[in-house]
Amino acid sequence: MIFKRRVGTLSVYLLLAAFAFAFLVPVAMMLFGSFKPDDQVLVQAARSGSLLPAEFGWFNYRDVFARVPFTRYLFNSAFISVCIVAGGLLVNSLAAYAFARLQWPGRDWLLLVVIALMIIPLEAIAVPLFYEVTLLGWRDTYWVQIIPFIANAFSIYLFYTFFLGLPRELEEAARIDGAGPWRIFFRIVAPNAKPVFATVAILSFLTQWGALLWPLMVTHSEAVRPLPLGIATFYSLPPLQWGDIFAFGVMMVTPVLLIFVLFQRWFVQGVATTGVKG
Amino acid sequence: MASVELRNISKRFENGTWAVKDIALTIEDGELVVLVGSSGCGKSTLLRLLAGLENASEGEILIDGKKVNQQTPQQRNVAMVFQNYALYPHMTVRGNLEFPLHMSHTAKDQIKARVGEIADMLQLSEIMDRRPGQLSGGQRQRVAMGRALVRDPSVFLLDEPLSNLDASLRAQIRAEISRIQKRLKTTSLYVTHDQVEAMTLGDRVVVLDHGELQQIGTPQELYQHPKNSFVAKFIGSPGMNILPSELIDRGDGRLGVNLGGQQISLVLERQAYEKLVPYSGQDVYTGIRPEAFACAPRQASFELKANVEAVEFIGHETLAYLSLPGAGQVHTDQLSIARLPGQFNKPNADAAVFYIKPEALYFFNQAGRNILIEGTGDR
Amino acid sequence: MTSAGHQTVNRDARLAWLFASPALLGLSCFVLLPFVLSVILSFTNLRLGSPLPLEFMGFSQYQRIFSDQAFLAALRNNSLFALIVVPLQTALALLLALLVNQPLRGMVIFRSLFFMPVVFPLSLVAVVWIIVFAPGPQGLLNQVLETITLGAWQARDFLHDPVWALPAISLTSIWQGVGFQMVILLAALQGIAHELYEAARVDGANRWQQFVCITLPQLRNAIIFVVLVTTILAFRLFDQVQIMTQGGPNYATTTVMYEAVNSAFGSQQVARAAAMTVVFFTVVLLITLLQRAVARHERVIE
Repeated sequence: MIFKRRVGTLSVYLLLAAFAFAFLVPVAMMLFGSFKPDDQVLVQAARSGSLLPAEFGWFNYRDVFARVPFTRYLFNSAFISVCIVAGGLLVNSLAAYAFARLQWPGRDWLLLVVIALMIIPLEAIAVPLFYEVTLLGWRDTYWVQIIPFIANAFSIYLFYTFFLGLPRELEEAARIDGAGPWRIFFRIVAPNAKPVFATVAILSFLTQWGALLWPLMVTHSEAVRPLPLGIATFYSLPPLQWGDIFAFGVMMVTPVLLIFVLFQRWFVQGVATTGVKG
Repeated sequence: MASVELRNISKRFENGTWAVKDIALTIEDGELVVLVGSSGCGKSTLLRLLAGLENASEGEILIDGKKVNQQTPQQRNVAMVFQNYALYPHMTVRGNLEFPLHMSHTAKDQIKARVGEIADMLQLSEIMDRRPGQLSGGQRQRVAMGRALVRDPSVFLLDEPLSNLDASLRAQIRAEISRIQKRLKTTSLYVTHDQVEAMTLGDRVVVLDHGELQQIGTPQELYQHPKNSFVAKFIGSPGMNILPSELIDRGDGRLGVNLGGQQISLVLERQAYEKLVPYSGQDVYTGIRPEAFACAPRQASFELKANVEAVEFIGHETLAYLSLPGAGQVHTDQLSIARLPGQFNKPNADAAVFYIKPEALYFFNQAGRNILIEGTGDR
Repeated sequence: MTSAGHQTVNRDARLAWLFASPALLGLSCFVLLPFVLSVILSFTNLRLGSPLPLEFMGFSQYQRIFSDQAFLAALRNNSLFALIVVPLQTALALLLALLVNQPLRGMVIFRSLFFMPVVFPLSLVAVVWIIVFAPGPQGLLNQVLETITLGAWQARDFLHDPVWALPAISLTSIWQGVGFQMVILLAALQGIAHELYEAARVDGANRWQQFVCITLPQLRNAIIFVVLVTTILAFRLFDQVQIMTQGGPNYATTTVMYEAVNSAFGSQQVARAAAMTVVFFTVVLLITLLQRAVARHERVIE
């Protein structure tokens, strides 16, 4: 019996290790490649024992900074993502609170409209949206990458279901204690809704940090372009230097990975909630 | 300190049903009134109307003689203890107690003094820096009371404040609530579904059913002179037995009652006799309190034979579940209950004999009204 | 007294509009309006910079795209991509969730590891995997396959091979996305009451029977959700194609979104692109409705 269980445990670990290897190899390849001279990246990618660089150097990283305005891209990505996340948390949670708790004419059918809008992905409206921002003269700015994405139907929906589950008595107690609606929202509801704020923040951050299609459509100057476009242009920038590309990639993903490691529990919980709600 | 007056208050929900209907009620300054009724009877709605959490469809609410229908809860200066306490989970006990004072822009040193005072009174000083999640049920209950009392409200509202506590704690906190209310003399309205709580706490008790007021009175009045069969059944543990019966004019100037074939002769005072006479020959309901049954004859008691279906021995007393012979098969929840002191064994014979004094009988007409006090009430 | 009630209702309503209006304004300007525009434009001949006057064209844009080889290939590719990715990714996510759910040490580390690629931007993932699929015997995947098959594998250029390009993109997508699905299924797994398994053990069910009779039915809703999301994502496929293959070789990896973006920005044919996105939206809508129907069906059974 014990023997059987040991074999079971061992095979679970073996399977996990095999998958872990498959998940790690591309990442390791990128990391190690970023320290190799360009001509060795491809050649040595998989030769056994040569995944590690023969000699270790920061030259690719220096190259990246010399060839493209990396810090600019990084700042742009961070600025755009933070604006969307912060604005989205405020605007969508307030709207969700109005749907979940306040009485107003038209509430129910507007909620239906919001839920229906959830299934429209950006791709389906990208072209007319592009046309719209062109008419507005917003192209090639920060705002064109921020303002259209602050209001988000899915975020509203996540907030809405969470607020519905909060005990109503908390807000009633605050009303009796003399708090007005704004204070009730910011001092009572929001502090007790931290998990859903974290979920929405993480999901919208991931979406925005990786956004490629929209920035590709609406920006052309380096001054406002985000990281994903950086790597796309870098990749198409001759001469094709893999070491530099990987160095770029490592620097691009490190901030997100750091955030991920720090807030792991929230990431996993956040993603798990979307499934439960769906 | 304030008096509260509800003038013909009604509340209709959007779907057209009445939550409460035409309730008139006065709470004197410093009085503790208990609203009691089964779930869905409208007692919580009435409390929320008074708190200002909901708007009345009709009628006026007055606090200290001033109409407050359009005022916010804060303007009414009411405080409320919720059934689940509704403590703010993200604040410490101190934060919870300070919150209402912050909202009313009380000065810092006054807040400190006031919170300290309340904490002393409710023995919260040890737990001031804990969060609600770290407290026991009894402690949470006391914090909820403290938060309600800290700003010295005109009216103190309690919505089933004991229902989330263990039975053992319940009696203790009940006594504490009573003590604090007596000491502060805050006008209070207390909602519960538990008639024992109502009887032990209330200066006066209001019985509600289906949104309508059934009776207002002291606990003694409700127990001894229930206005209708609903109040009779609701008050007491267990409540009064209500049996279908027929009043008979025995022709000798006396009335009798036919209880499932058993003829009982009634010796009545003149006043009672005159009230009952018009019903002679009619079907009425006879009410007998479980406490009125005795196993041995007493002075002027009559005999009642009944089949003992089951007995429950509780220690100091025994509950016997009875059916009257000739009544046929009765459903379990229609059995009559007798509360007998000490131990009572189920007899081997079919029927046992119980002794009841005639003056312990109540009579209700077909509409459920108490015939003996009909017309004298102020309803 | 009704006036008092009305006043509070009005106050509440004004406040609600204040709370909701920023989000509602954003949604109507940047989702609803473009969507309506999309439908309207698809019936016109709008082409940026064209001297032709704007005209109503009826369904002719649709007729055109449905006789366009590239667009038909795109629809086919999206469907094929969904057929490869949805079952493989869901099965793999379930397997990983089951493994990580074992009560053993170190499972948190494995969970994080499998979830890690989710936080990688798709554009970066695509670039990294170009190297994995590098042509010639030196390419990583080519070498691995050669080792496994003891030299029988003929090295090939995956991303420029009409047969292998789409499966290569599928593999990339699975690697990046499977962790997301795993976490959802893991949460559902952990939501199953222990008593169910204990009851099944008492009834004499073995591990496999427990999996089939308890785990799978209990996971049903989560699996339906995962399948829905993956399918929709499969039809949104764009980033990987843009970076890895540009739709080639010979339309072997082009997708609906790639064609739409190309029409709009390559040749400024906004109306044509709008028609493509309307087709895309219809597909997504149908998939969602199908999922709703399946989910509702289950509720009736319960």
